[in-house]
Amino acid sequence: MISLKQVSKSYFGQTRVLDQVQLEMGAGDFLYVIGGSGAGKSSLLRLLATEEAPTDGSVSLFGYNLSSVSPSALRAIRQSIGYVPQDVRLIPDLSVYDNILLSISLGGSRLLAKQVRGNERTRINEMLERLGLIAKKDKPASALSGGEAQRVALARALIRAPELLVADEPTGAQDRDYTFAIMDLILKANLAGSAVVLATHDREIVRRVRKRCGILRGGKLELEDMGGGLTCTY
Amino acid sequence: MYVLKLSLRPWRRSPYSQAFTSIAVGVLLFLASFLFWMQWGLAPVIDRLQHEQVITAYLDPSADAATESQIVDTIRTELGAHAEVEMVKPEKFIEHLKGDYPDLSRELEDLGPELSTVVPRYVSVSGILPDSSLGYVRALQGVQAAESSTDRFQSVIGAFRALKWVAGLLTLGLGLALVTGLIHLGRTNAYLQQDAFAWMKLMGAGRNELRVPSLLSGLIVGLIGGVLASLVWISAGEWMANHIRALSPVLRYMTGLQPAHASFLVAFGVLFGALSGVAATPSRNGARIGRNRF
Repeated sequence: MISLKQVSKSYFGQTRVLDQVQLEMGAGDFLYVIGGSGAGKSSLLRLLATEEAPTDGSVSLFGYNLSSVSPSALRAIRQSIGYVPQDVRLIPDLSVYDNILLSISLGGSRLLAKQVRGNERTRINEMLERLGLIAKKDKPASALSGGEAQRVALARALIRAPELLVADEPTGAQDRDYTFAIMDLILKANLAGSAVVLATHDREIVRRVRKRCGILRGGKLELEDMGGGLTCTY
Repeated sequence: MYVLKLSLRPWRRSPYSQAFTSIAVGVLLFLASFLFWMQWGLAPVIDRLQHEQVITAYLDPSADAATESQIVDTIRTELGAHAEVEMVKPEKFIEHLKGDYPDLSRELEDLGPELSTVVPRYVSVSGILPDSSLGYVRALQGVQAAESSTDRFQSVIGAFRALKWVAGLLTLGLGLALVTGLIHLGRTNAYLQQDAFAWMKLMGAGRNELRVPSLLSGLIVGLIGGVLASLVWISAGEWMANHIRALSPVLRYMTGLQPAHASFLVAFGVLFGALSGVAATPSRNGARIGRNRF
């Protein structure tokens, strides 16, 4: 599903943020991406969300090499991705409900079962209920706090039942309760077949929800398997 | 519903730009339509001036009263549908003169019985006449000579043609200004919506999905402009048209301005607005994603 080969990324010809990164992931896989500030976590996730192209190397998603993909195939790939950017990027004038509706209206993945299509209102309400946002449903996104906006961004990504969920520090502005509610939703999506790439600083999450882990150091991605007794620390 | 909300975002983010552009669209649309009416309405005036002529048929001095009547009846029968036919006797001719040349008319009246030999009798035929009319009148028995005033309005026709041409050019210019203004607004709106379009594109929106909010934004501005223009057309258009027609007797032949055409202004406003929204192409203006994008 995800194949990164010798992927490097630098901005304006400066030092490489990512250097010869190799990564292979299949459907339903889960990967934490951890590393210090400026280690390149967000850059890696932007590549996976098709927001940016690599400086060198190739990124393949769902069997398509993104450097040579047609515009229609790229659209289909993007419709299969749920992306939670670090800066959330909600549309401030639209309500919470409309921000989520927009996401699902622009397409969903094949994992989005036919029976739930056309039942968006109920699904959105359920999602908002679980994330403690039902009372804010009709509020404009600009009126939300940082934590609330982050949860809406997650709801917006999960509502389309993505084949690939790319989440950049989705719990960064949450308290403990919401952190685990969010992780619960992400794990459910993962169990339903979504591949998950999650960047986080939160060691507690990594320790309690044990999954494969990638550590970014000096632009290199070192993969560890938490099941093998490794610590996944940086 | 979110599409409509997206298309109304520019009204929230820059309400004055949208409002002033709507008013400008209304004014330009009304002026362009009014000039178009002028251009269109002048056609029958020019046509009339081009084809209207006055034929003066001088009668033979020996023609008696019966012949006079016969000539008038023949002309009326042949050209009556198109023409005004009038028998002008010396007395009537002097009546016509009295207003402008009172001394001359008095001298002619003093001629007494010799008046009929000095002042000719003639039949005046005026109106939009076929080209063959002059030849026909000349050939009538009892007509000594006949002349036509064809081309007497050439200079006026030239002036009206110039006015028509300028009105057409101004209509075109105003139309261009209207479309340019709307496209410029569309591009500004696409820039204002850059965040939303960029995100939508990243979520897999196609070109059409990105265009719909822009199309609706343009359509809303065009609709408001069209409604404003149509209100002015209904309330002041006829008054302005009558004012122009009253400036010269010739202009009374201009085609009337129809208040019912106001609906066309609304339709044109909507059409121009929607097309300019599409032409603003948000896929190029507002949806650039990241550095070194795919």
